[in-house]
Amino acid sequence: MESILERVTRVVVEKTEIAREEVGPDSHLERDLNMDSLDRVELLLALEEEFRQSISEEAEQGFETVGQIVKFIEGLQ
Amino acid sequence: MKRPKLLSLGFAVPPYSYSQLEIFEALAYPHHFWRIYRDAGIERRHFCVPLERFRVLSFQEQQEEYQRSAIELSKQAITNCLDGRDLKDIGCLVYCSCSGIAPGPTIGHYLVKELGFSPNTRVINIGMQGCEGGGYPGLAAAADFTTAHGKQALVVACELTSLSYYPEPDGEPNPENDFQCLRANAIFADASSAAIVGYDDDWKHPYIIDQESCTDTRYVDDLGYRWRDGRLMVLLSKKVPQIAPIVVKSALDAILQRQSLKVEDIRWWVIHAAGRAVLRNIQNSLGLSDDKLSLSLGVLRDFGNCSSSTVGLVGKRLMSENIKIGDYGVVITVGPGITGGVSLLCWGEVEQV
Repeated sequence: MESILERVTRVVVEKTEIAREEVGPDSHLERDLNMDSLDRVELLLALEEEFRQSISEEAEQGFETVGQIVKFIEGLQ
Repeated sequence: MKRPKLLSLGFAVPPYSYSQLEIFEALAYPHHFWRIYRDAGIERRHFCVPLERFRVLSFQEQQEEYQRSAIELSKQAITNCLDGRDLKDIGCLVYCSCSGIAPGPTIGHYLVKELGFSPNTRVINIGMQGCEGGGYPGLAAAADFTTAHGKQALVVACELTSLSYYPEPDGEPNPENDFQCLRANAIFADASSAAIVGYDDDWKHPYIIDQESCTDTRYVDDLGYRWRDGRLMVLLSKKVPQIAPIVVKSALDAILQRQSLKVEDIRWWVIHAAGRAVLRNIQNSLGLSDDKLSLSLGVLRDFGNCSSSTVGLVGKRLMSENIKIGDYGVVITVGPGITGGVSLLCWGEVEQV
């Protein structure tokens, strides 16, 4: 069974088309993954669908790295 | 041969001013797209028509409004730029715009008539060259005129991007090209700016030392407008922030090499406030410190991306800075092609060519 980190990473890879091995918990969404605000909107919608959870705008604003997304979703489980 | 100088700058913005939230709500996009507007680095934008009107105008109405507002706003920008100077000294008027279509007589001809330019004024119309129109080809045409004829030239850029709005149904943004209309509607605004090029003895008016552009036509279909259903529809690919630094750096490197200068020798950076991503990528590509972008980021925050008028607004702010004799500055534009345009300025004594 996939861990939350693996599931988040899979969604990030699908959205950014960046190689799986280049995405890790410390990957910065803007600097490392070159995500702009539209990419982040699309990532947010994909994460909500993947985890069947609503992610608030306030929470989403705090996401700077993949690891921060994972930590937030772990808190929802 | 004497080098031309940038003698004066002025600008004007139209009366309707809105916050990003007001604009986003008026455009009726789904809420999850708010982040794009919120994070654009923009607080307010100005438009020549109220928000409730610009979504309902037909193409014909857009162009009629363009004709009216472009003349009025350009007149304000020119008057602010003249700042008491004599209009009769202007030998050439260069009008630049990409956001509306004025068949001849051009907006320039109406400006000659309504402001009272000399009947011998040469009128040049630079149309549809996107965000670079006023800042590079417009400034270059003015500098070339002054160099060739020894007279002053006035370049005015007027962009009324609200009048090139492409209609989208409530809650259903067109996903084409990564939601290009939605993204464009998050940044573009209206303004006019004007500059006078000529000669004088005031060291505070910089010489235009050199100019260069670079166009990478592999990306010719990634930025500009295209026709759709009898209207202008913005063309704004997500590649633009990646390509812009490449063409800008190529043009800048050519100038620096010719002038035996280094990036570190340039103190003042007047960069087209295209958007946060373009500015950040140009900064990283050239290795600039944060303070070099402060003028452009400030204009982006207060006015948004006013297309080819924008560098005039940035330049006007520069004139209030603590400039010293011997300082170098650059004016950088990005536009369709995709083209990067660079003009090198220098304050103080300059060896003639």
